[in-house]
Amino acid sequence: MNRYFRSRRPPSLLAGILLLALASGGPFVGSALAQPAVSPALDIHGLFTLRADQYHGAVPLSPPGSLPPGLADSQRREAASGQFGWGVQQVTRLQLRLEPMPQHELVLTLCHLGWWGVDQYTSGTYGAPAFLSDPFRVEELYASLPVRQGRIFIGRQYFQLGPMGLLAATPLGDEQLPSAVTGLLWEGPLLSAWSGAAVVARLAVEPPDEAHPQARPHDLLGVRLTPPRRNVGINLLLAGPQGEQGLSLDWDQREGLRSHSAEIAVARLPDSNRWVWAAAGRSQPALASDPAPSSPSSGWSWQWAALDPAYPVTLTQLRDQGGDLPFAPGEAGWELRWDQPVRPGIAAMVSWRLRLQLTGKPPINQLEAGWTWAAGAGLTLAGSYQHTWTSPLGYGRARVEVRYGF
Amino acid sequence: MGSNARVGRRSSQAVIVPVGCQLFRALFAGILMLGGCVAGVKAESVSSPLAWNGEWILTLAAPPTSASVTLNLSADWVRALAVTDQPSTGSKARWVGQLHVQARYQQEAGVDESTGGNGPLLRTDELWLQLSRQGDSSSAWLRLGRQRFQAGPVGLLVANPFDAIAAAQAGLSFPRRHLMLTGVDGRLDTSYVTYLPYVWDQDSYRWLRVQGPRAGFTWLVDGLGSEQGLSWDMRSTGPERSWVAEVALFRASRGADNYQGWVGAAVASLDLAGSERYKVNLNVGSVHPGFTPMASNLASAGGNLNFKNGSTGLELNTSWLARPQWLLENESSLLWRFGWLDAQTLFRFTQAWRPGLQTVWELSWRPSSPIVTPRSPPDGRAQLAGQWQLRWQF
Repeated sequence: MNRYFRSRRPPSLLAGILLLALASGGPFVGSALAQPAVSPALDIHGLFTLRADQYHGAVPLSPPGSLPPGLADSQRREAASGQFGWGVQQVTRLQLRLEPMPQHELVLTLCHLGWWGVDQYTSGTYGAPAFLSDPFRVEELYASLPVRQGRIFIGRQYFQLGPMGLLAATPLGDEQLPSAVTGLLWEGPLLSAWSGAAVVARLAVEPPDEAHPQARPHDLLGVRLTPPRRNVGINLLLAGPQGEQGLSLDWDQREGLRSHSAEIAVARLPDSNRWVWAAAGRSQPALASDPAPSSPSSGWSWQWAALDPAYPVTLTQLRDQGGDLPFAPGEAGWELRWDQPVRPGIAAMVSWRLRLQLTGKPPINQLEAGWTWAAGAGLTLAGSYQHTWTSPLGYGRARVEVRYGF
Repeated sequence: MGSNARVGRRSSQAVIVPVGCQLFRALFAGILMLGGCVAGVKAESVSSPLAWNGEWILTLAAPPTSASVTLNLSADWVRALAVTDQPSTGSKARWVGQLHVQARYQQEAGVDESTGGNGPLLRTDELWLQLSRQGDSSSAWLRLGRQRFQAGPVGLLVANPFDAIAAAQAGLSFPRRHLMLTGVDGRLDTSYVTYLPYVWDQDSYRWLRVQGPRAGFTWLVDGLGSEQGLSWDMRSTGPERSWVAEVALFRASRGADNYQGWVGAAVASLDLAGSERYKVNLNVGSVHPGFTPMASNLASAGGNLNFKNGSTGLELNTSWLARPQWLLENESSLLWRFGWLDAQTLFRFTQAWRPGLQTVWELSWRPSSPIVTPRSPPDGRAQLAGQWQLRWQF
């Protein structure tokens, strides 16, 4: 993920590029070697997003313990009354890329996020971790350097192994603080025309306590191998944040203007011999990889996933980790989406998402309809309505969004 | 301000012309020219996509002895957009997109974050996106994000110099008719005020304004809690003499500890004499003690005026550009607040060393008064205070 701003694409497609970069040249395919450095000495890009949400109906409450008691009481009262206001979220990202010499880059990504007021249920503004008066946070700060075999990325950065990110990924969620990790990532060619990528990161260090006299580090170690002339990859998670281990096989193919991806993974906790499984796939127009309606495109998209309830991987693109795959452990289902241009610059979309609960709970259906207006270079306006049917009740969410990228 | 009249404690005479940093401008130039096509809408190039400036201030003051450093940085990314105005016909209108970021660092020696400073952080002051369109007979704009604003040249009823507010501001201007309509729908950061007994959950901040060629009308629809207000401002500009005035009515939020009921305030500023080298300005005003809008230019609300709630009196400001690099100013106020004298005279000498770099000497004197200010002695004795500043604008 650490090259998502580096693309020379139109700015309004920036969000789509975040994922497109993964699908076209992320670390897992090692194609960065083929990209000559032609950028100026200092490059700057940005993306401003303003998103207004309003809920109605029987909205689910935050999980117990996730909110301070006072806020939890307020949330219960607000949910019971059904009187929800508009929650407005503002996110700004700026990226500066310095290239002091050819092929050597220093990348700084700054993120600023907050809500207009923080005391309503909408957009998860209860317990919001950030305010608009806060300074920009350093989301990424890494150096990209060529080595004899490939290229290394050193510092705080986003990354993802494989097109789906089921086994190892740092999601780029707007609702949470940055999930980038500090570490070292290498990608490059291997023997016999194989290519590979490896990531080593230290996520946290637990201080010593009575039970553990030594400080306990939480590290991440992952490897990816890609055979020559094949659209498949093998990912190994040797150590995750909780010590979890895993193995996955992925497939990624582009046919004309469509791309298809899939990944199947098995993983286990360090003190368990039980391997649990997960699988996910996606088929979409080549540029419609953004799950939110941001870029007009035509045609259908399909996402599916099935995940064991005990799937233990914590750095992944799953929904509960803030990722872009709209499923969580214990769920199986799909999302069908149709995008249809209706006028120049305007596209409509409709999607249906079914989330079957493998734990025996009733399924969750979500139907969404919306429109996107690419109003100008860098400027996108979008609106949508999503209704969620849960048993026995349901709730709806209206969303209006403005994006400005440069 | 919209006129030559000066309302406030700081002179707006420009001795220094900020200059840009050519190096960085050269580096950034062309970044936004990358453009591209989005669904058939092609970007138009602009001449100056990125502009930035800043101000660094070092202040030494006594008594009590203090030292502080302030850094203000702002950057604007401006880009012309060919917005598809009428999709059915394909006609296009020229819009301009502007992303404005302003950050502030302020630190007083010995004051850390827990006691009022902002610590080693570059706080985000303003961050907004503005879409504006210049038409043949009208212009329109929409500004979204954390922003500052002021309704009218005085800002008696609506102004937020103390802090930016997250809001959407929409405006429509008809230059030929000298008519402008402005409206703001904002949201207060209720994390700080939720526990006030008269604020429930989300607290909105809304106002509307109609401005004509010589007068404007502002309606504070919904302030902090349920604050409300109306104001009428007038202005007259001439080659030598200009004046502005604002008369406002205000009602505090019901249930608040403030005075309940409608109260008034009026402030006027008149340029008595002036030329390119000197200016004499008189401010007169009277503010009811219960006139306490949360966002106002009154000093009691953190604004730029010398008047506070409960103040009545006048203020005489003179400035003289003795040399192109020397500016001499005097601000003398004779105010009564809650029945007590609240007077002050202040001399300021500003010397410009080079474009953007200046030093400011200030000497102020206050007669004995029980009116307490942040820097006055608690026993109300007369006080002589001095301040030296080094200002660097770039």
